[in-house]
Amino acid sequence: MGKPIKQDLAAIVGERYVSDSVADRICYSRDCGPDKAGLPDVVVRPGSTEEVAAIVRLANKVKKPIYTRGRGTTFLGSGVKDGVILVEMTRMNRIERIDLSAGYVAAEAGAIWHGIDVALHRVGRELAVPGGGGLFSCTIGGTVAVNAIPHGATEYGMTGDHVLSLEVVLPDGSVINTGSAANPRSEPIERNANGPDLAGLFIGSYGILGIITKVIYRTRPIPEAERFGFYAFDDYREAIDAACGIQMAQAATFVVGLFGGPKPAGEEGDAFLHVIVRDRATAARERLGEASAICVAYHGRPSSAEGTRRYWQEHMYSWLRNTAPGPYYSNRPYFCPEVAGFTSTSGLKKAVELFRRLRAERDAEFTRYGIRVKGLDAYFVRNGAYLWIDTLYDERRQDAWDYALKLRGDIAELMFTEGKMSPGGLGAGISPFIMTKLGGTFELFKTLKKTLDPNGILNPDLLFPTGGMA
Amino acid sequence: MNLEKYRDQIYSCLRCAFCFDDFNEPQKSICPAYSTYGFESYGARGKITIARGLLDGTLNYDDEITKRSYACTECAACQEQCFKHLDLLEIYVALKEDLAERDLLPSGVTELLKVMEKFGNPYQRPPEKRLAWIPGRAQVDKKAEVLLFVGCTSAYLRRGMARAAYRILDALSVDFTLLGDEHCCGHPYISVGKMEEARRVGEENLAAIEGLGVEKVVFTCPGCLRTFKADVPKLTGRPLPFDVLHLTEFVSQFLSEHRIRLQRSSRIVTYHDPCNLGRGLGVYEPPRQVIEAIPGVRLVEMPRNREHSFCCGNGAYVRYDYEEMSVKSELDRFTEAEGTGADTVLSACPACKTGFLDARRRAESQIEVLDVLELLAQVL
Repeated sequence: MGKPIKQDLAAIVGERYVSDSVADRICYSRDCGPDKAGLPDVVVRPGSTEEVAAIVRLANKVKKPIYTRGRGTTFLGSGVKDGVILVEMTRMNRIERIDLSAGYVAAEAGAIWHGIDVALHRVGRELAVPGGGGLFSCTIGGTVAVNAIPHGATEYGMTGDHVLSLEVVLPDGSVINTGSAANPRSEPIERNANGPDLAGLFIGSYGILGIITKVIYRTRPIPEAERFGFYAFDDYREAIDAACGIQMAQAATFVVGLFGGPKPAGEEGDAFLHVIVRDRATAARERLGEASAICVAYHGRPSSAEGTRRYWQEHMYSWLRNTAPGPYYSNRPYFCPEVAGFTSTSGLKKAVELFRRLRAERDAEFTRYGIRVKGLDAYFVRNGAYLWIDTLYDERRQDAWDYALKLRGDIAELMFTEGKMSPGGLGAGISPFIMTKLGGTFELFKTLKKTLDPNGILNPDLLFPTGGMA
Repeated sequence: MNLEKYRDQIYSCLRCAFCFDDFNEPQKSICPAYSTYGFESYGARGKITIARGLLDGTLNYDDEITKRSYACTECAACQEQCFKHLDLLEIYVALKEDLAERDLLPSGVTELLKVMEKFGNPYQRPPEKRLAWIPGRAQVDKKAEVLLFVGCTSAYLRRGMARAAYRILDALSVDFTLLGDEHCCGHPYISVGKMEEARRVGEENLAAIEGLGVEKVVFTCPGCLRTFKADVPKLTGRPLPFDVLHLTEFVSQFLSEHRIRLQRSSRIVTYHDPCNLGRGLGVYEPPRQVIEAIPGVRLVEMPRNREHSFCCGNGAYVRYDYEEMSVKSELDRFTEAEGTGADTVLSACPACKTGFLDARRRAESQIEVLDVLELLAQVL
């Protein structure tokens, strides 16, 4: 890579915010997942929307692709290729406004999800989905761009549901605002204003159609009470039926089902449900009572919900299995080639059955390559479930790594066909297994990409092959 | 390659990014280096990525690696928040050992080592002046129960702390002594990756202290204390034949037994947890017990306190090569201290005090900067 691009970028953002040192570039390659990625030529850290726009215009001029990164905390493959410009967004981390009367927060895309939530807590509010999906160290822009599957999804819905407005730098370097904020004399209070839902175009699009630079997100008052329930079942199908009953009765804020992986410490059973209810005190008590009655009706055995409480309040997955983070995570060189997706609640039974069968059929291979099952966990969402099929491999073993990636592909193929699942987050690791199954929708994606980004500048080839220059 | 010992841990990094941001203080970073320089390579996830690149052979040891590896105050805030509970500080030291073995040291560290070799302390002061501050030689090199290990910074730069420590022990009628030929604890060597030198100094110190037959060694400097408690046994391969503790820990035992009478002092103070004492050794409460035992003193905590404390920016001798980071961090922390409305900012570390004095000068502030021991000595 020649020096001029670095100098041109430095002219936009300032010299100290650009680096072409390999010691820096190597840090912006992989995400948290198993996919190897390329090495960018240069890393640039813009401090404003104007700087992002100028970088995009420069990239078009020199025909050099851009990959955008927040905290890089997805598990789905960053897709970064060799020789690109890596735009790192965390310098744009300002929380610009907390509007209590209109119930929103306006933050730059690089603001950390949990940090925004902490700022809101100080005024008695929280982000409308309290867990930003996966790791709470994620940025709000990245989380929206991926449309991460959030905590609280049973009642609160998806991450993208609560976006009121986005500020986006388009592939040609122009800047737009979506929803009511598109009118500069209006305020960012309604997404469904001024025509089609343009925010939806960018939510979950993984930055291929534009770089999100600002997010206006709905907030909610912190509920008066939180109540927790935990139930063990001897038959996973009954656990799923119970979860479905809770959904129908709207009796819980969040239901998490465990259908595989290690059992919660000290518990016996085939499947387990964690139930979290957030509401006014009386309502929370009543709703948990209803959820409990449903579980018991399906032969669920109530047990201590301390792990449920700690999982919810301390944001650590290990508590789903009654285990503290230290013993659970320490010194484990394992990575997770996850496959995940939406399915109907009844379809979940089929998906669980399919994976259990695959696991049994491949027992010898799992043993040979040291593959573990971290979890077969479902977040119950409003109209179905989001199933995480999380295997683990030891990355010190190249053969295990290779097998784990093949296994991911096999599971994805199985689940996206027979399992009737549709993935939420995509990324370079998962998109090859779903995009070609989407027919006309896939064609529309390609048309949109080609129309908005004719030079293939923004995250090319990340969700589907576009013939990007990288 | 010293990093090889940590291969499993390095491969265990999930890259979760918990090591960058302060989850209790929006828009603030926990890492002095990352918050100053902004690129991930200066933060923990980046350093571990670099370490893995070195192990895998995709990176080579060079000046660029040096520049990032030594930009670390060893404050351990990253380790405190590490999702995988990795021994990050040990990995950083191994990385620096590898660089030191290849003579890939930053220029300031190179100068520091020359000074250490010539003077035996990092401040270019003659060894014979190390105890120039004591009122007399009566306590020096005598058989006693307790040794006051003064440390280079208190002995040469922050003599008010050394005098305060002496006065406290004297006032408590403690049977104590000082080493007439006290050496550096070896902390500078460990910080820069020169472990053989650190081991040699550790052996010398152990031999000298053992000769006095003391039961306890008390410290004013958390860096020295941590070196003795955590590093010397590992370096020398034998357990310490005496107890080691910070002087505030020692005094807090007297307080709990009501063996001290303190005068009144009307102050509003805030207390900064030194990284080596707090996150490093888990000593959070004894300094606070000392402060709160003083009649009339009101302690107001900073938003970031105890294990969430932010580094003052003066650890691990970073001032020699990373002045910008050091100054930024000390001003950040000093501003936070001022924000409490306190009239006095306290710490329990001579390096922290040095940083805060510099910050006060730069900020043209009127707030007083003291060590807990100095405040205590005032009210005895």
